[in-house]
Amino acid sequence: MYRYSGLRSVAVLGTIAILGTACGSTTNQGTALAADQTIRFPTINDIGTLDPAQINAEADAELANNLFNGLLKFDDQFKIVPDLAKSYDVSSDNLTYTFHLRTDAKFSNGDPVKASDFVFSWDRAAKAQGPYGSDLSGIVGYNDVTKKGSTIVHMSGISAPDDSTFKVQLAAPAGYFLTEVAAYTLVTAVVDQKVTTKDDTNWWTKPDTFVGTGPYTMSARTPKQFVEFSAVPNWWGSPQPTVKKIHIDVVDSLVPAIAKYEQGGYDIVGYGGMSTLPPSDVLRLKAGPIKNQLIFHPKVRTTWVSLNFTKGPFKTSKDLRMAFSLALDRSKLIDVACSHATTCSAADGGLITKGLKGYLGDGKDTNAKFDPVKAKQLLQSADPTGNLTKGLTYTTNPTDLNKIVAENLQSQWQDNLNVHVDIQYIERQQFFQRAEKFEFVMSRSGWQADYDHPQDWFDNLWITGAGSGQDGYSNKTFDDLVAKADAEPVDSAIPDYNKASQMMIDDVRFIPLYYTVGQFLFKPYVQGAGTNNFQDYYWVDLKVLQH
Amino acid sequence: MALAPGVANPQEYVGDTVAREQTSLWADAWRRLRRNRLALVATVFIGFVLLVAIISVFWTPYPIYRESVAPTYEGLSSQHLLGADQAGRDILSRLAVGAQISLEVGVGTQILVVAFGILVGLTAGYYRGILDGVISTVINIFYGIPSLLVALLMVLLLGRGLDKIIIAIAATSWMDMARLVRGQGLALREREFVEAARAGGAKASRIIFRHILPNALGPIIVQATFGVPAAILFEAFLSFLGLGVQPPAPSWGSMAADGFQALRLAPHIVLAPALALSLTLMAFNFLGDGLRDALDPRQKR
Repeated sequence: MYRYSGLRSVAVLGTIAILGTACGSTTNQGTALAADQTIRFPTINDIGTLDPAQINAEADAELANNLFNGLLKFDDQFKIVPDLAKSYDVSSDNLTYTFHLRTDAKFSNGDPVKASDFVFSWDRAAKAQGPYGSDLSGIVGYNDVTKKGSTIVHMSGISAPDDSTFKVQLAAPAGYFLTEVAAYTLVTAVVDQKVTTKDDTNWWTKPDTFVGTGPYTMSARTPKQFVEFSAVPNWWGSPQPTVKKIHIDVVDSLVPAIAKYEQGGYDIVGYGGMSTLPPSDVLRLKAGPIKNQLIFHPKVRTTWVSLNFTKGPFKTSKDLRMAFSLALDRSKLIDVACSHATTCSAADGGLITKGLKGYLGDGKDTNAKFDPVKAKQLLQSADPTGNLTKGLTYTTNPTDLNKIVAENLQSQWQDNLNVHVDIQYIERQQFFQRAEKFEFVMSRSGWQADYDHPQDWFDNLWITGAGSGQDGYSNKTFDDLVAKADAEPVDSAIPDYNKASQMMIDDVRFIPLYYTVGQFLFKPYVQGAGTNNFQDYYWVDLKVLQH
Repeated sequence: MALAPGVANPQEYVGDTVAREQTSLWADAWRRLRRNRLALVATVFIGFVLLVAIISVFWTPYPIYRESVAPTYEGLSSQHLLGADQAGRDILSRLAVGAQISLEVGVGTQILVVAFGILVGLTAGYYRGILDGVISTVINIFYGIPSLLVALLMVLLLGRGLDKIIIAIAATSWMDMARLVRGQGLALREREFVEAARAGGAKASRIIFRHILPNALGPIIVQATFGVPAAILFEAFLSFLGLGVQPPAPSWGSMAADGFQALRLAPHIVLAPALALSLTLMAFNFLGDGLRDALDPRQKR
């Protein structure tokens, strides 16, 4: 779902062995709470948006999930649990979902949350057509609202028979509908009509107009410097938040931020989607006195190189695409980029991350093999004059890791293909905007699963016209296969999804790079902090112990 | 400095004064420079850097762009005398190629500065009047603009590349040279030998290039020598900020920026280019000092 550092995020994997070490060391400190219940952590990018209809980046969603609620949510163990809906019924034809809302829920400005607020919020999200707007596409009336130039603002498939009942009518059965309702892309979260109608774009940017339903709400913000969230007094949910204040600094680099953590200036590093620490610090901390505070946890994230299918030399030549993939020694890449291969592994089993449904199996992506001889031969036959590969540029947004990866790719292509590839760095927001218009011939792509279902990857990234696609690839057979799989129940859909994945590999649609392991720093006195494969644990469970 | 009159063969006289009278300004300067130990050491060091830079054009211990030739962040070892950087590249090889970049920038900038400075400065100094007024005003305006800002804008406009950086740095540092040459021109044009030439019917161009310029050369050389380290430092600074030469080209500045990230894990990555840079800058400054003393006839011992 989210783009990490331009990525999207989250899916299942389940087991969350994290925190064992971090919390383990808290036992000798007792369980008395510290007087100052404040948690401080750094983030590299300022908030992109906190508007549930617009959220795209993991960095934003990690915050927003503590500020907004939907009907259902995923708990820390990634089970779907009730949120603003106490319960729900599904009709026998799997087309009608009836949600029964709790009656005590309130917005942070005191207004009660009613079913009509959900009707408003979902209509608004569909109309806004944000990155996850298409999550609502299964609902009757969605196309009427989103059609170009349409003046219809209401999806006929959603209704509020009374204040505590919310009904959803689907056009066709969708096995992943409840997953999308709970997904913390939050496109299905409820927003306050009062503030959003007054200023639809900027209401979330300042404490005065920020209204949510979560245990925390924005209490202070200086753009590009810091943002602060405070616990909502007498919040409607449970448990009540223990930590009173979450202070997030916007920093340029995590290197000084980690130094500040070591000196006691931060309690956590890695929260808020920042779980890729600088390699030099990982190596240093791993060997140092606070190695127990450094936590590794797999993240359902894959990074690859998108090749442009609308223009440039890769469009027509499969041999050329394969040459560039086979020319990469991924063991060298992950040694350099991932702290001696501790923070990632080679992506050699398809783009859907190991551990998720749709993973093809170790070594199944034959394009991830290192074969410089064959790569050279392929290049020779595809580009005998060298004209096609002259002036190639690889484009990425410049994070510490992305830069290291970019230079490594450049060096390997130079060494193994004798092709010089220029590197172009473009700031994140612009990078994704332009990448999704297929402006770049070769660009870094990444995806963090939103939930454990291949549909999340295929529909958002790979079908023709997918919202987050970066390569402009279009193939009718492929699209049909994915559409067929989407309609099937998960278990029978997997073979079809796998077939589609294999088609992409056979066509050398992308250059696979690596799967990521996240890295976190937790002070021993922070209780309840941790992460599953998709997201940070909720802030509401955090406690600061006496230290 | 003219030959002592009436002495057919000066070698017959062992007197020191006579022998000294024989020497040209340049031989005299060279002799005095040799006496200045610091300047001599600096010259040798610059020669060494130059040699390294030239050798690295043809050969480096490892290919400079190849990664994973050693474990990342590895310290000094017999295979990698200065260790490896964050991508497992050989630092010694990169440092040597970095010397190329630094010297090219330093010398390249000064060639532009000297050429432009002489042209503008002599024009203003010799012709005086309105021309001088205009040129002096332009020089003063350029002094008023922050040089970093100009350089940044030029890099943004021209694009990144060594040649563009050289142009950008020259564009922000030509004023000192122009002003110095102008001053020399103003002073020299009133001297007797110029008057004599003028009386003899020499054209302005001949007076400027045959009489004034050669006599202004000493200060120009000194000024240019001081300009070299300033330009090298400016390039390193731009590269440190990520605005200089395109990575992964190993400018000392960008190498330091890379290593800065890992300062606490592997300080050698930042220390190597930083030391190379400091020593080179010092060497050029000492050489400049030495040249100034050597070329100033009034300081003759």
